[in-house]
Amino acid sequence: MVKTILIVDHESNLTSALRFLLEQSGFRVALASSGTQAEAAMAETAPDVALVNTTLPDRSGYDLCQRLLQGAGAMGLPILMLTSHGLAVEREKAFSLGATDFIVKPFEPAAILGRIRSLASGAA
Amino acid sequence: MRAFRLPWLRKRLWVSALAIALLAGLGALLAGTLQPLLGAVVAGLAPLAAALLVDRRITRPLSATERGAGIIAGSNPGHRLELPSRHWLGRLPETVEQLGSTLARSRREMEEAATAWTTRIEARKARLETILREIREGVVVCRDDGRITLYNRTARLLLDAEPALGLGRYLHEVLNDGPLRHALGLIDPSADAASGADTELVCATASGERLLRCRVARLITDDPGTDGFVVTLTDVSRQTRAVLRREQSLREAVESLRDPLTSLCTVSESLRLAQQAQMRDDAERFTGMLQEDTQRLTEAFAHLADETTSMVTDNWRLEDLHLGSLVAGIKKNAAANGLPRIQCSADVWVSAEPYLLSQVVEALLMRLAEALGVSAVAVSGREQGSLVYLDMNWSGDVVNPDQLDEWLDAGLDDVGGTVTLREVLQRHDTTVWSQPDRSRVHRALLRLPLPGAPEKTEAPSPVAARPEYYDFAADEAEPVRALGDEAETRLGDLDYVVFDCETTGLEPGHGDEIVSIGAVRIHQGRVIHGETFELLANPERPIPALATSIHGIHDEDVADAPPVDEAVRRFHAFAGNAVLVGFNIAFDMRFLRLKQRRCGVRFDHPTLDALLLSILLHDHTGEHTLEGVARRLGVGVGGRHTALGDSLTTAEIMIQLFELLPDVGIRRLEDAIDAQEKMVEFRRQQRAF
Repeated sequence: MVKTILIVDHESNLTSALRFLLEQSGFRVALASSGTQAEAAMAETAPDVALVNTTLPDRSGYDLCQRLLQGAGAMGLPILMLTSHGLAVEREKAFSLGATDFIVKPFEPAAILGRIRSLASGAA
Repeated sequence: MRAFRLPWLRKRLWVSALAIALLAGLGALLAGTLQPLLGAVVAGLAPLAAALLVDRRITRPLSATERGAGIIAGSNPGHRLELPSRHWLGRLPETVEQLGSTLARSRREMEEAATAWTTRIEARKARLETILREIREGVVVCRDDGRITLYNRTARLLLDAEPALGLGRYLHEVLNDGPLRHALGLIDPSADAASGADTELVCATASGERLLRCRVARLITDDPGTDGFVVTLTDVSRQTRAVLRREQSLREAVESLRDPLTSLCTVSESLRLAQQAQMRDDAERFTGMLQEDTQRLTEAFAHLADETTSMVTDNWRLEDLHLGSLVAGIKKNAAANGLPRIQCSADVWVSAEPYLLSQVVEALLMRLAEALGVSAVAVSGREQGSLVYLDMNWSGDVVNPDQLDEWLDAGLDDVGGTVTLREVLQRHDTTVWSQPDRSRVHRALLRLPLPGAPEKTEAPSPVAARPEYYDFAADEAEPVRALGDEAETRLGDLDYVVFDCETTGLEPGHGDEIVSIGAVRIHQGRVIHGETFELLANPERPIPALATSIHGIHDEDVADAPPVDEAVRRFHAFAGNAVLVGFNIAFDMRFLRLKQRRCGVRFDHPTLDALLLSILLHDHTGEHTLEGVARRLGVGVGGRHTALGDSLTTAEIMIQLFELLPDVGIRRLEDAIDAQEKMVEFRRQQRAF
């Protein structure tokens, strides 16, 4: 069964390239560039893994992370937080608010693909 | 018990002698002797003669001695007794005069000692005042309860945005209370035996305008009632802001690299896959993205590079430096240091590290003399945009670039040779080059651009040469009292804020507004000219021409002024808990009280009205204008119809009234307020009739 990955980030080049790589790896990809779009996509696509940037144009990624986890049917959704902030406390904050994994930009494509695969295979 | 008095004794002596003489005469008469009349006369005169003798020789000299002793004891110890030429007092007058001489000598010695002490104390006080005035740090001295008893000029400048700064006010009204209390706890010997003598803290001012590094030290004196603490203040706002700005910039610069880098990695991997799978459209798309990300990365890097340069420069202690003064310093020792003759024309300011810059200029001049044989150099400074060109101009050829590079790579001798000229220039974010002087033939120059000094802040308002905000007498002031006790306090011992408002009209209830508030403090019976408040307020309505004709304030004067509410809040902070004083104060209070709810403050201060008190004292005249009262009391009138000018005049009037009011039984605040209320009631009744 094809797993769906929801990417929530406003960096359009990054999301396009990531989508390409994930599709090449056999995933289905849904894109959202804001928190509002992400909530709509969540309802439409029921993703298996969500990649959420900590900074979004309309709200904090941490806030979105909590809302996605509270939503119906999102129980146990693995969320991988992406961040441009280098502070160590960001990691603590992400895990405290329910994120499953955390990665600081810049990262190697292979690294993030590996993590997504791992999260997707663990998802129900 | 009745005191012994010589005139009384003398009187009694004469009465007794007269009585004895009469009785003796009567006795002789009744005895029926042969010469009864003669016997009676003799018997009667004998005691009178004896009494006369006693009076001349004893009682009169005694009386003179008594009066003389009184003069000696009371006013003139050198007084000589005025005695009859002959007396039976023996050495008594002499002894009294000797006592007077001894007393005079003792007094003279005491006066000399007191004068010497006073001179010494005055000299010490003057020295302390000079030190306090010249010291770079702000100094504030407080009593244990935080009441300010002294502060210096620098403290005044550092705390210029704090309306609550003033003698008799509390330090926690001026500085952020929390950190200050914590620091005081650390040096409180009663709280903890291990407490230190001083401590340091960084603390914001109450208005949040500045960040100050404060050193708080205990002030223990021989008189336990005057113990307190002294706080030295250094402004660290600029450094702290610079550090915060640098940290923020660095963080943002690094973070600005993360997104394009991540995208670049991902896009290039996608491009590789697309090319591998021969997906031409995708490959082209990813190539475009690659170019975009490269561009973003380049921009982010350029920003980071700028920040790095500015951080390096920021870390230096750059000062505003007058270039002409720097060159004059070099010129003074030019001959001794083997430099060319220097002609200087550089009346400009630069931002530089003074010592190192002077070392660089001196080193370059020395190289010109040694390597090129230049004997005279014209040094000039010229503003060019945000830069200042420091030109060293001589008659001869330009310096070869390679040679100049060599000079720049040499170490500076006076800093141990560890820093090169180039490094110093780089740290000033500049360099130096040689070029022909295009305005004159056969002349060349070395051009060293320097950052111009930042725009000068407005000069601080002149402070009286004699620092009136020193008040050593404040230590003797009564401790702070609750309002109930305040009523009982002598008028001269209270703190007052004398104020005046200029307005758009006379009817605050019908839309008239304040356009200016001026105020001055009275502390310890003295007008503190260094503690004034003057603020224009924007009434947000046009100022009628009639009002402008009185106070001279136009609409454009208040266009950029804070709104009235803000002005009222600031004045409230300045007033603190002082007694408010005005000339016809009810008018001004009405304007303020109408605003208090909106401003979130309360003007429930006790008030005194100089106008009412003047009428009370001088009801013989109908002249009670501010000018009239001032003239009567010998007070000069300055700045009439400016809020501050009228406040100052009213304050001087109040000082005179404090002297006169006790004559009509008004000594305490309560007396004055009662008298005012009675006058208001009396005038109200007068009007009713």
